[in-house]
Amino acid sequence: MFALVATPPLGNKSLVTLSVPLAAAGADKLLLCEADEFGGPPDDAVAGRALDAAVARIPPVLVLFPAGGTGAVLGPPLAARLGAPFAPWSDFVVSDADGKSLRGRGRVQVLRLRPDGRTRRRLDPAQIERPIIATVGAGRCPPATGSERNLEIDVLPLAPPRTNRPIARVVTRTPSPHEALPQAAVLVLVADGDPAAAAITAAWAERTTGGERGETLSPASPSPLAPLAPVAGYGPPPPVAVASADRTPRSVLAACCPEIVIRVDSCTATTARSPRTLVIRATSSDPGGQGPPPEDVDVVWWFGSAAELVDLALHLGARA
Amino acid sequence: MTAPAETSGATKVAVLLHAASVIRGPQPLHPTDLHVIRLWRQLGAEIVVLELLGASGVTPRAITDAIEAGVDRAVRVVAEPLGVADAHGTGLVVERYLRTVAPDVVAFGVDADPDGLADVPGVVATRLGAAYVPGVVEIARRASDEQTPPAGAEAAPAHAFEVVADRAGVTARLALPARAVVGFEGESLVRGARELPPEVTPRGPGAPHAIRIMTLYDLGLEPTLIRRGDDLRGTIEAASRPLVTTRSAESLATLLR
Repeated sequence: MFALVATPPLGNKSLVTLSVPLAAAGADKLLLCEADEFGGPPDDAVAGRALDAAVARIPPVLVLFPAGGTGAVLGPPLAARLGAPFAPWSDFVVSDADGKSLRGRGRVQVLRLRPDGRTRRRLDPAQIERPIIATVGAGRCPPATGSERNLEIDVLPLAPPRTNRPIARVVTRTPSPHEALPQAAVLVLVADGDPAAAAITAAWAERTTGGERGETLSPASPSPLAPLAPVAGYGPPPPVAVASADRTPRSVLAACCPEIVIRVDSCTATTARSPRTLVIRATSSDPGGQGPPPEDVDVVWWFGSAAELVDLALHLGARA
Repeated sequence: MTAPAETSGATKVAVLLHAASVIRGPQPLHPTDLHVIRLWRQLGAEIVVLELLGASGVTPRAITDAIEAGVDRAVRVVAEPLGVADAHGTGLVVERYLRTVAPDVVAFGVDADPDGLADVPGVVATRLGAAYVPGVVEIARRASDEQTPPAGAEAAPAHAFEVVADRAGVTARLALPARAVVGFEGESLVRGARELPPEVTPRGPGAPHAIRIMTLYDLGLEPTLIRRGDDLRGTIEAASRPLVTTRSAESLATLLR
C-alpha cells in the first residue's frame, strides 16, 4: 500500500509529522511530490501531475481517495487518463480464499451502493483488467498496524507543468465552515424544530467543550451545531460531528459519507452512502406510532435522553 | 431540425443532461439540470442541451422539459452502442458533438446521473483539454466584466466568470478559464444577475418536434469505437439491509461494533 502526498516543500520536522500517522496506518511506502503549487485547493490541472507521476511509478490496481473532497475533484480526470472506471463512495470485500478457489476473481473487490439503496455494484479489478479509481467514506480509525521505521519515503520527480492547460485560478480561499463534516465517521443530524435538538446541543456542548450549556438553535445566532468543532481528545480527523440539517447545505451533506449516520426525530436529510454506511433513525418517542421508517434506514432506535444519544455517538466514534 | 438561437455573441453553454449518462427509458428532467438551465439563462447565455440515449423510441421527456425551461437548442444522440458504452466511449461521443458546437462552458448537474456516478464529464474535460470544476455553489461575473460588459451581448466569455466551490475543507473562489467543464450543485446560485420569473418563455426550438436527433455516423464515429463488452460499472447485485429496531443503547453499540 502506497500513500501519495502532494505538498509544498517540507522540512525534516514536517516530514516526520506527516509520515508518523501514515506509517502507523500501515502504509508501506510514502510517495512524496513536492512543489510550491501544491499548497492550494485540489485541482486536477495542478495535482494531476503528482497523480500521473505516482501511477507511472507504481501502476496501481486501486487508487483510493480518502473522505474530505479531493476524490470528487481529482478522481474522474485521473480515471479518464487511465481509461479506468470511477467508483465514488466504495467499500471493499477481501477474500481469504486460496488462489485456486478464486478462479480468476480478484482477492479484493470493490462495492458501491446504487442510489436506490437496495442494489449495489461489484467491480473486480482482476476481471476488468485495469485500475479502479475509488473514493471511500469516512471511517473509524482502526488500531495502528505499522511502524515508522518500516515506512520508506520515495520522492518522485515531477514532469514539467502541462502547457496550455486551462487552470481555474484561485481568487480567494477561506476555511469552509463545514470542514469537519465530510471527515466525521459518525454524523448526527438534527432538525432545528425538534424539541430534542436543543437538548442534544446542550449535551454535545457539555461533552465536547466543557459545559457551554443553554445554546439554542436560533437561526439568528451562530449555532453550535453547524459547523461543529472536532471532538477534543479524539484527534484528527474528528470522528464525530453533529449538524443542523436545516442549516447545512445539501451539497455539503452530499459530500459526507460517514460510517454511521444518526438522524434524530423528524430529520430526513440524507448523505452519500457506501455499502458500509448504517443509517440510524433515533426517535425520542415510541416508533410504533410513527409508521414505517424511510427505506434508507437500517436501525430504528428509541433513545431515552439527549445525553444518552450524544454519549453513544462519542462511544461509537471512539471505537475502532 | 434545429431552431435558430435568439441569442448572439453571448456565452455559449452546453448543458449535459443527466450528467451525460446514457438513458435507456423516459426520464424526467432532473431538478439540478433544470436549475443549471435557469441559472445560465439568468446570465443570458446561449444554451444547448445534450441528451444521450442507448435505445431508439424513448419519449423525449427531459429534453422537452428543458425546452420549456428556455434552452436555445436541444440535441439527442441516439445510438444503441451507447447502451453498452463505458464512460470513456460515452465521453468520446460527447466530445465529438461538443467540437461541432464549440461551447465556452460545458455544464452539468453533479447529482443528475441516475446511477450516481457523474463520471463522463471528467472524460469530456480531459478529451477537450478543459478545466474540470465540479461542486460549484455560486457563479458570478468577474468584477472587471461587470463594469464593462461587451456591447450587444448579455453575457460574456467563460473567463469572465468566477465560481465558488468547496475544495477539501476550503471554500474557494475560482476564476473560470476559457475552456471549462463545470459541475453545479442543486442549490447553486447566481450573484449579480436579475431573477428569472418562475414561468419562463421558451425561446428556442419552441416545439418538441424541433429536437435534433443525431447518430454516431453524424458525428463521424464507428459503433465499434463506442461499444464495449463491459461498461466498467460493475455487476449489479442485491444489497441486503435488514431493518433492526431497538431501545437499548448497549445493544445498538454491540450491533455497530
